[in-house]
Amino acid sequence: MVKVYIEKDNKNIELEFNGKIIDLAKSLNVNIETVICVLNESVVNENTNIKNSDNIQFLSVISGG
Amino acid sequence: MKCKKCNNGVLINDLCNDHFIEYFENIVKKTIKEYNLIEKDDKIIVATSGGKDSITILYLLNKFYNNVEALCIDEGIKGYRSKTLLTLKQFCKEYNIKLNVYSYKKEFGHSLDYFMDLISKYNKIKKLNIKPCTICGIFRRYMINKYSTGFDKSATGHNLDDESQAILMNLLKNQIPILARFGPLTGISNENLFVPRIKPLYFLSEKEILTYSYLKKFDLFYTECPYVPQAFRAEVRDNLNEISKSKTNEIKLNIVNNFLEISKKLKSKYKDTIQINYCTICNIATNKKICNKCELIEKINMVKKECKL
Ligand SMILES: [Zn+2]
Ligand SMILES: [Zn+2]
Repeated sequence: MVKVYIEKDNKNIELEFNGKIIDLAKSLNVNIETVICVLNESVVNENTNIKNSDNIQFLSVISGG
Repeated sequence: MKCKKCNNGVLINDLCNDHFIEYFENIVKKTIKEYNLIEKDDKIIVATSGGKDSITILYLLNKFYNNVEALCIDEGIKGYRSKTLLTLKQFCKEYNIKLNVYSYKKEFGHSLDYFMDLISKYNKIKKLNIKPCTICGIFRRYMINKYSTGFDKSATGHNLDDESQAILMNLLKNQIPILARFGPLTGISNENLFVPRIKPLYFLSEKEILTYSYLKKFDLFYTECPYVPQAFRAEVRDNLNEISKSKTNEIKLNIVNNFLEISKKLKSKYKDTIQINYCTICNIATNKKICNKCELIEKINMVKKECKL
């Protein structure tokens, strides 16, 4: 299982996923332009592959200055 | 994918962690140089909210220059400002930056929460079109101007997203004279009435700034202001992000670069149309008879009176 946190919706999800973060974002309807991807505590590129047992956070870049 | 400058893996914009940090800081330096934003010995005040943009610009200006102080306006937003203020205090202590805090309460007698409460009560009787962002736009701006006096430059964390959104909004609303004031250095001419306002993060996106602050491990308060932003801005922002999908900054950079291309002409065209008066109530420079701040205070006093408060 991959653990996903979407900050914008303050939502935690667990799902089966194998592939790139960018595709995970697409399937969850997260616009990659509006988030940074944090994989197991480090910020990573959206083309990074993730595997089961990974922990991924989509942190929203939109906020007041 | 490999970094275009070394063999490490790519983080963002075809660059690895270290090269991204180098790129980011170089863009800020380049913007300052190209637009002549800062002289070596300038006294700089950075208007900060404790969010990623203003923390980042505070950090960088303090790193590059000697005379940097922070300014925070405490609007009095429960559960939000108290936390960001704490973050900011810790940050300034860590980097040895003088922090100046001024509150709405001291300046205007009440907090933003109080004003919004008052206005929403009044709205039930008569519609008074004052939004929280309108109040902040006027009161914050006034206080930032007031407490920047004595400094050579007043810096804010406005970024590529803020600016491209603002340009589009003003175009869509047919407000070219307002647009003429925009740019990394705000204002139409060197009116010498206000401390010049500078935006060194002008060419960097929110995504790049959040990545930078994350890599720098800034202890940020990652929450938005609880007041709902202007609906129109949110709409422009979301649409722009939708169009920008998978094109990184290209579209947003095109908007600001095209604007900067014509902005010189705009500035000279509107230079003479700006009439500077002095507010008949408080005597500060304004382009109207009564300044925005005094006008808003009058409206609020009227509401207070009618609500018998
Ligand atoms: Zn590199
Ligand atoms: Zn006035």
